[in-house]
Amino acid sequence: MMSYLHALPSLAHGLGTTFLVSISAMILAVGIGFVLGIVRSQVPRAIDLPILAVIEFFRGIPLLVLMYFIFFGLPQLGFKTGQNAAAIAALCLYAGALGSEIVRGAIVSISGGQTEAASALGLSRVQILALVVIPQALRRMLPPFVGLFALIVESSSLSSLINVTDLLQTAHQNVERDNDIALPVYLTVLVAYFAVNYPISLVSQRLEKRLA
Amino acid sequence: MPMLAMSGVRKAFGTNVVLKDINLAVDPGEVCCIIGPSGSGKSTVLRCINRLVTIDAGDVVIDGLSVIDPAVKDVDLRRRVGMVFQQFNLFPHMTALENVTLAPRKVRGLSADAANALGVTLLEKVGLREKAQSYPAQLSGGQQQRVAIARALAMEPKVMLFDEATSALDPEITGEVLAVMKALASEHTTMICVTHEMGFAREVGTHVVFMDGGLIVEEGPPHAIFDAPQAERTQAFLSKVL
Amino acid sequence: MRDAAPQLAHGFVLTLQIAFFGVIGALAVGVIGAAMRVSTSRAARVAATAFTEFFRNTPPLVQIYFLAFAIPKIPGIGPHLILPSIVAATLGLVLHQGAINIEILRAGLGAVPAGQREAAQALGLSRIDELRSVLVPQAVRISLPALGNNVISLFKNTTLVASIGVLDIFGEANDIIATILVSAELFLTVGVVYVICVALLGALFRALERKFALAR
Repeated sequence: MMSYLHALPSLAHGLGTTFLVSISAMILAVGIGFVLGIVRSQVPRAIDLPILAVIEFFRGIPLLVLMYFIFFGLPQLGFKTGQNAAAIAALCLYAGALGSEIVRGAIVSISGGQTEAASALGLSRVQILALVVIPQALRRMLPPFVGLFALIVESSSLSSLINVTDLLQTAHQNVERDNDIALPVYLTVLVAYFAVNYPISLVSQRLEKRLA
Repeated sequence: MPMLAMSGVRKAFGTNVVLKDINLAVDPGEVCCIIGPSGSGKSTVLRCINRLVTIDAGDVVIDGLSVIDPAVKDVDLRRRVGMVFQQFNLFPHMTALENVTLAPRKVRGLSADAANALGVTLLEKVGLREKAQSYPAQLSGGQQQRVAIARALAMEPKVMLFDEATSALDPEITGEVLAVMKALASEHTTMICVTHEMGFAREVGTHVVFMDGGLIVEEGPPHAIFDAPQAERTQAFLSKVL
Repeated sequence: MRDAAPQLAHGFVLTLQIAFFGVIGALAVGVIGAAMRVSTSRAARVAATAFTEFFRNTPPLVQIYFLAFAIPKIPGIGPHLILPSIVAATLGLVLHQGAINIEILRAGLGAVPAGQREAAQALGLSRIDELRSVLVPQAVRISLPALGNNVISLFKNTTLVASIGVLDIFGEANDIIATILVSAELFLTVGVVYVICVALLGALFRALERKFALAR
C-alpha cells in the first residue's frame, strides 16, 4: 500500500504530460482543421479531391501505426523526432484531419442562403467568408471541437507505447517496479481518464443542445 | 346506450390545464365533428378516448369499457378505436400493405394470408389497391392519409377518431381524403373528427361540438351551430373561419 | 520486405478475427445496453447509463491493460480471472466500442419521431411489438452511419492488441522490426493495408445506408 502512495506523485506528473501532449496536439489540430477546412469549402472539386485523399489517409490509418511510423520509421529517412514530438505530430495529424471535416461541414451548412444574401449586398468573397459565414459557423464547430479534445486525451494514451511518460506509461513503470500495486494503480488511471473526459463530453453535449 | 360517453373529464400537462370539464355523448353511427380555435384541447379529447393520454379526473366509457378501469387493458381499448393522425404517422420502413396488415397480424392474431386479404380489401376501399407495394415516401400526402385510414380500419374498430386528418395536406388534395371519410360516414361508421373543414362538418357531421379553452362551449346539430350559434364565442369563431 | 509478407499475412488474419469478434460483441453490448436504457426499470437504466459513460470516456488501451494486468491482482478471485492476452484485448475493444454503440442506438431510438410511437400504440401493439416492428427498425436505419464509423474505429483500434503481446498484423510488423529493422517501409505497408480496409468498410456502410434509406 505504501508503494501505491509513493506512486501517486509520479502518476500526477504523468497526468501533466498527458495534458501537455493533448493540449499541444489540440492547438495544432485546430490550426490544421481551420486551414484545410476553409480551403476545402472554397476550392473547386478538382483541387478538393487530392486534399480529401490526404485527409482520408490520415483518418484511415490507425493512430498507433502513424505514431510508430513517425517515431521509428522517419529517423531511417533522416527525420529524427523525440518521443513527445512524435506523439504530438501523430495526434495532430489525425485530429487535424477530423477537425478539417468539422470546419468544412460547419461552413457548408451556413453558406447557402447567407452567401446569396451577402453577395446581393455587394460584399466580396473574402468579406462574405470572414464577416458573415465563419462567425456563424464557429457556433456550430464548438461542440464537435470540444468532443475532439476528449478524443485526443483518450488517444494520447497511445503515446505511452513510444515511451512518452504520460499517465499510462507512468502507471506501467510503477507496476513494473512493484507488481502488487497493479490493481490500485490501473484503477486510479481509469478513474483519472474518466474524471478528465466525462466533464469534457458533458460540456460538448450541453453545447450541442444549447446551440442546436 | 351511447358508443362514447365522457363525463367530467379533466386533463392538465404540468400546470397547463388543457381540458377543464368535458362532458360528451356520441351515439352509434353518429359523425361528431369537434371544431374550435387551436389550443382549445380538441386533439387531447381524442387522445383521452384511447388512453394515449391518461385523464386526471372524470371518466370516458367507450363501448362499455371505462378508461379508468385498471382491469381494462390498453389493447382492449385500442382494438375498439381506430385513429388517424394529422401527420399520417405511417411507418416509413413498411409498404402500404405492411402498414395496414401490421395490427391485424400482431394484435388480432390473423394469419399472414388472412391479414393480406383484409389489407388488399381495405386498400381497395380507399382507392389505393395498386399502391399496396409502395413505401410511404413514394406516395403523395393524400395517398398516405388514405393508407393511414385503411390501417386504422384494419382493427375493425367500433369508433374512428380523425385528428385534423386534412390539415397537413395541400388544399387541392384534401378532397380525396374527405371523400373517403364521407364514404365511411355513409356506412354509419361512428366517427369523431377534429377538423378545420367547416364544409365537411356542416355537410357530413350529425353532431357538431364547439370547444374553446378546454370546455365545450356549444353543441348540437350542424344547422343549429352554423346557422344560429347561441354563444358569443361560437359566433366570433365562426365569423372568422366562414 | 518480401520475406516479411507471410508473417504480415498471418498477422492480418488474426486482425480480421479480432475485428470480427469485436464487432459482434460490441453490437451485442450496444443492443442490450440500449434496450436497458429505454426500459421501464430504473435500476436497468441507471446501470446501463453508468456503463456507457464510464467505458466511452476512458481509453480502450487503459481498459485492455486493466483487464490484462490489474484484474488478475484482485485479491481472492483474481488468479482465476487471468485471461489469455487475445481475449483481454478483444474484451477491452468490446467494452469501449460497445459503450459507444449503446449511445448511438439510444440516440437513434430518440430520433424516431414521436408520432411513430403514438401510431403504434393507437393500433394496440404491445410494448415489445412497438419496439420490434416500429421503433428499432427505424432507429437502426437512423444509426447506420454512426454504427459504421464505430466499426471502422474498432477495426483501427485492433492495433492496440499488439501492446499486450498479441501478434496481429501490427504486432507481427513490430516483431519483424525487432529482428531486422526495416521500419519505415514496413509501417507504411501496414498503414496502407489499414487505409484500404477502412475505405472498403466505408464503402460497404454507404451501400447499406443507400439500401435501407428511410425516405420521409
